[in-house]
Amino acid sequence: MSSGGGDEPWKNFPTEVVLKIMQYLSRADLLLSRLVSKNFVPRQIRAALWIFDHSKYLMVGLNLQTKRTDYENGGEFAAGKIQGSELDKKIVPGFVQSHKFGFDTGLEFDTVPECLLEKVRFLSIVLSKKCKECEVQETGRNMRHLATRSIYIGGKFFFRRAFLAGQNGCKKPLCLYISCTGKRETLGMRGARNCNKAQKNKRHLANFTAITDPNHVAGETLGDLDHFQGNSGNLISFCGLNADFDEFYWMDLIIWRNPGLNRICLVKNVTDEGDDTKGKMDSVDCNWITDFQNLRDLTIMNYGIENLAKLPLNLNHLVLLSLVSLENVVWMSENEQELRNFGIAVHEEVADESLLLQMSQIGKPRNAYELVGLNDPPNAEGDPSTSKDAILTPELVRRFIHLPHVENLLFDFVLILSPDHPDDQEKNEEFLTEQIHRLKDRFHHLNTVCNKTPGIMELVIKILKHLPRADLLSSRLVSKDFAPCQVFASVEVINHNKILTVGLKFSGCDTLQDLTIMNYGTRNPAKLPPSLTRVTLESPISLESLVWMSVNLRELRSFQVHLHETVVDEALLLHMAQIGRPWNAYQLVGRAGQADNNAPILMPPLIARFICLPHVEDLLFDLILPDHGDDLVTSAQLLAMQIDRLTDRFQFLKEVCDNSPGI
Amino acid sequence: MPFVNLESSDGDLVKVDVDVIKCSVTINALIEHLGLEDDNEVVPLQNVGTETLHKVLAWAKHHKDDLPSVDDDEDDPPRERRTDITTWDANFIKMEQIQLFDLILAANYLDISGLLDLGCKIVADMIKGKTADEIRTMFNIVNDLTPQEQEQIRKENEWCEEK
Repeated sequence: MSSGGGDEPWKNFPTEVVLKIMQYLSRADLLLSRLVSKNFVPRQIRAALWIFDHSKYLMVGLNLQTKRTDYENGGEFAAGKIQGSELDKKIVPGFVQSHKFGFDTGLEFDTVPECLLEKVRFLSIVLSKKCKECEVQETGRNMRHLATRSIYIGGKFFFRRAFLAGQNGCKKPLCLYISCTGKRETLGMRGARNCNKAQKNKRHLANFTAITDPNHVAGETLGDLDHFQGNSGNLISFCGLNADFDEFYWMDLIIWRNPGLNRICLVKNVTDEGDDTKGKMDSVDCNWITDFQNLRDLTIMNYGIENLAKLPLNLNHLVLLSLVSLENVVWMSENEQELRNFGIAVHEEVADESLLLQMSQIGKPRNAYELVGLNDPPNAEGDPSTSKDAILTPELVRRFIHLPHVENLLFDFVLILSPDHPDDQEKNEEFLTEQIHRLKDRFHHLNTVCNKTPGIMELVIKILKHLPRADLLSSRLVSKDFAPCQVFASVEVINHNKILTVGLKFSGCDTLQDLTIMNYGTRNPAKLPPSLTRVTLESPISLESLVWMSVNLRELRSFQVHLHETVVDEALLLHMAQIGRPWNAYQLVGRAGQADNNAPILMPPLIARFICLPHVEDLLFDLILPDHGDDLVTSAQLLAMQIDRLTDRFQFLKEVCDNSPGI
Repeated sequence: MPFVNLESSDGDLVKVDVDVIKCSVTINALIEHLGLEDDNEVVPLQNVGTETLHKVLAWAKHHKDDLPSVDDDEDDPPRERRTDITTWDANFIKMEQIQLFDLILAANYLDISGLLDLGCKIVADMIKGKTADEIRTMFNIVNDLTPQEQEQIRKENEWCEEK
């Protein structure tokens, strides 16, 4: 390949190659590289804003993906995705002959050669208290595991499974997946006859009936974990869901036995159905990993976190989607020297004043108090010299954004739903609104920081699509630009069979798909399920159906219809007017009331009901002109009249667009 | 099919053992998907010159029996950025900068992760410890930063350089 670029061969490198080179540079070299030229290190920042209810808190996120775009939080469980793979037969030929590996294979730990356990590189453990019926329905293949390892209790399955996954020639590392799922409480055994598959096999039946206590399943799984702990030695990655392990003593030993272990992911599922411990948050004490110098990648989600300042100092990836207070953010900005990926949920408060004070006293950072928006450390009497609330200041954010070594940066701002924090789960709208207004300033600051950052080539702010409608609606109250929205309008005329379709399409983002009907007549659209998020009806629908959908399809994200400007079911319109949903059903189709004889039309307020809702991302109305048979002259005249009428309609649409904030 | 003919951008044909070039994901895919079953079939490589192609093949031949490393797993982002280079590789990679850059671009095009890693490590080593001026000179890069912008960056870097 010829470098061809002549004078500046560096410019010939595609972005991915430059980023690969940067991976091998130290932080100091990366910092210095900023001084070479503006584009020496290509840089992209994508900012995404979103709001979601998370457990007891509302989180508003700012995600700055800088150089790397391939990072996914879900990647931690990638090891578990390996399917249909096979182990290297050279390792344990006898064992491999009698076992297949992959999701479909249950594993008896006492039959696994210790040399195999020793080679396991990835360990994934799922300890869930959730009912497993759903999973059984989703994946019928699990029935085999149920037959061998499960009991059927009061309508809930409780079972355990484990499998090994690897691949020929160890191209894929050996993975061990263990899960123990079900409800903990004993609801009464219903007997083996409830599992037909078990009855077909005596051995299965023997296993089945041998388990009389669901805790036996849990105990057996924990026994397997102990067995694994005693034999492991080559782990590089551990992922745990709902792990507690008696306050992580099990993890301590795993760390000690596996010096190559460099990745830990601990996720707590806080939404387990029927979990009587809901709301109670187990904690991870960072003291137990403080001497764990090989750790590079740590993810903790939904656990409480204690002693964050004890984190090891050489982490590359740190994702803490559990509440982090501001003094800890300051500490991390100062001490985590090798961060490449950083995601945290920030609670804008200082929970441990002593840490802030200590950092201020030793001068690392020299401006610890300023970084959280407080002017000075407490005076001699111990009283803070200012009464300002601590916040995530732009200066503190800049400490991360401006560093070229941080490739992915995510801040979740955590809002308290109620002043009676933390136990009250009810939203206090007034209290929440205050916080959202405060956040508005924060986003303004962040926008300023981003705009002033040299090298930023792209700044994209968008609302993610999976937000609940309620949160999207409230997000409109934050500010005009809080949830920026782009509307692309195009007009097209399509000769479509016997009807002429004139379309005005408002495109937002890609959306979910649910129901599409094309070229069929559509009857009773008022019977559409209200849960629809995407509706495409390329068959004529009437105006009263549209009114009905504007009220009842509450979760619409994408909506495309062919509209015939008629009312064919007067009864439906009357019914809506009578129940007051919507209160102005007749007005929405251009009529003053039931007795009014005006021909109904698609009125601006009816269009506005869709356009102005931020949860509708894609909106298309095709206005249909009726066919007029073979009389071409008459048809042409009628068509001209209808097109004139349509012109008025587009005028309406333009007015609606002009008056819609955010467009 | 033991051999495949590769045609460089200079129009030269190079016959190569398939086992040697299997490290290239690009060529592997071409062989698999295009069904090149005839020994006389030619795989054109319009972005790789003859000299560079020979370099690539020399590296591939030496590493023919290497097992794919765990870090190559696409499902798994790189954990450790290891910088160890074998003596053979260190000797192999000793070349002019322009050749090195061509080799990296070829490795990227042919999707040979081991060779790409090696090239990137070497370039990273060239950058390490250099001042901005030295890097600009080394790669012939024009300084498009104003003194004010440089000062601003220095100021922003200051807090972590003071350690």
